[in-house]
Amino acid sequence: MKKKLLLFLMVFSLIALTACNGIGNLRINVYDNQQTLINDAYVGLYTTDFKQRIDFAYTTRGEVRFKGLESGSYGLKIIKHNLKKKIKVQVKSDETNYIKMNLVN
Amino acid sequence: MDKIKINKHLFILLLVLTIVNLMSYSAAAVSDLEKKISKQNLKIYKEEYGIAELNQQKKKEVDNIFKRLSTEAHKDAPELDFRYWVIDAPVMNAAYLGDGRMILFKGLVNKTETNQQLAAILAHELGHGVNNDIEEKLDWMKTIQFGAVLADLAGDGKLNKDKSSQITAIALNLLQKGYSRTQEKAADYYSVFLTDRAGYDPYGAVEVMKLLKEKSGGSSNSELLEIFAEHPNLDKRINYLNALVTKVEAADEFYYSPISTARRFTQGLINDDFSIVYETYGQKLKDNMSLDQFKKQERAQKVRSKIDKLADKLSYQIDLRNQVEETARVAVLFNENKNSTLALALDLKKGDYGWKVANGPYFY
Repeated sequence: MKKKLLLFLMVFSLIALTACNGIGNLRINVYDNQQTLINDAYVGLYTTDFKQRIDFAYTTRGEVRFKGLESGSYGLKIIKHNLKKKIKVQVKSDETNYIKMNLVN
Repeated sequence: MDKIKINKHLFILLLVLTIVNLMSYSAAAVSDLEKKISKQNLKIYKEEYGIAELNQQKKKEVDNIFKRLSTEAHKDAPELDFRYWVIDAPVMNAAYLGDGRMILFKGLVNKTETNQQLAAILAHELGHGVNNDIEEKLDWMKTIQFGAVLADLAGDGKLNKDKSSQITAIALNLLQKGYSRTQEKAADYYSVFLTDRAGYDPYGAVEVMKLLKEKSGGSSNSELLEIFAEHPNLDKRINYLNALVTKVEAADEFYYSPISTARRFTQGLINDDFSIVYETYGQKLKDNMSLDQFKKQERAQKVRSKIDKLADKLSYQIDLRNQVEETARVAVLFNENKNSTLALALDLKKGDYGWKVANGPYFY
């Protein structure tokens, strides 16, 4: 009986853990050294090892939004001409996660 | 003896004056001589046949084709202000007169079966303008004209000092001699690239040559029209145009640049042809949305209404703003008025079949 209960609890915990892996949004604002929002900066969303690109967008009025992302860690690349930045970000479930980025030398 | 001496001096003086007169025409991109000749040529046709009256629908159609093509051609020859007139004569042809002016004969407007055929002929004539062909002919004719002056003197010793009749003679001579085969071929080639850039099917160039072969010719009792009634070397032209169009279409399919996809997108937008716009998008959008759904989207409606309000939607500029890892950001800029610009942003991605729109358009 105890064994059965333990098995039930383990399965329940696994289901609960999986269910927690929900979705969230990511909003990125890119600024220059004058703290002005910049247009046309590439924002690439990658797996954490940066080996695979998941999505991309270019900034319009300094902003990019990625919607419906599975919660977890991601890699971000921001590039405009000779300015490049690489960071890792955490997307939390049911939240719009906001990143402010200064693209400067 | 003295009389002969005076005549000799007079002869030399007149000769020098004629040479100075011919050399005085500027050798700029559009010389004064080209401007005068083009004006004179237009006058000849206007006086002889008059300007054709087209119905409102047809006029709008021809205006639109001309505007689309000349806006693109203007980027290759900014010094030229392209204009056209439709001459009331039945021949199936058109002519570039110089200084941006061209004439179309009503026969051409009536007998071409599609817009892309008419676009091909217009693009060919614009090609003569962009390639500076009149100026090239004039350079050549200046030498001939100088020879004619000498021959004239040897004949009756009189010089024609009336400048306007001199220009009329050059103008008529230009029309009669026409362009060289090399110039015609270069204009044919240009027409394929220009129609493609302006969003027309470049195959129109081949179609229209076939149509000319089928429908043109016949005798005319007018010397001025006779010049345009025949079309030499049509078979040869059909062959080389066919080969070129095949190459251009293949290049279009496989080597689209972000700019050319954005241009096609914009052409679809300004002509309110959403099937062209839809085709520029990647499979991801097409899997999620049919053409009908795409047309009805709020964003598409908003862009459409903004474009409709533009006074001149045909004059636009496309800028490649950024390009990273087989993706690109392109801006399409329209002049709203003197002080403001309507700017659209497109995100593109390179795939197996060229560059496709991935996101947008957004308003900057």
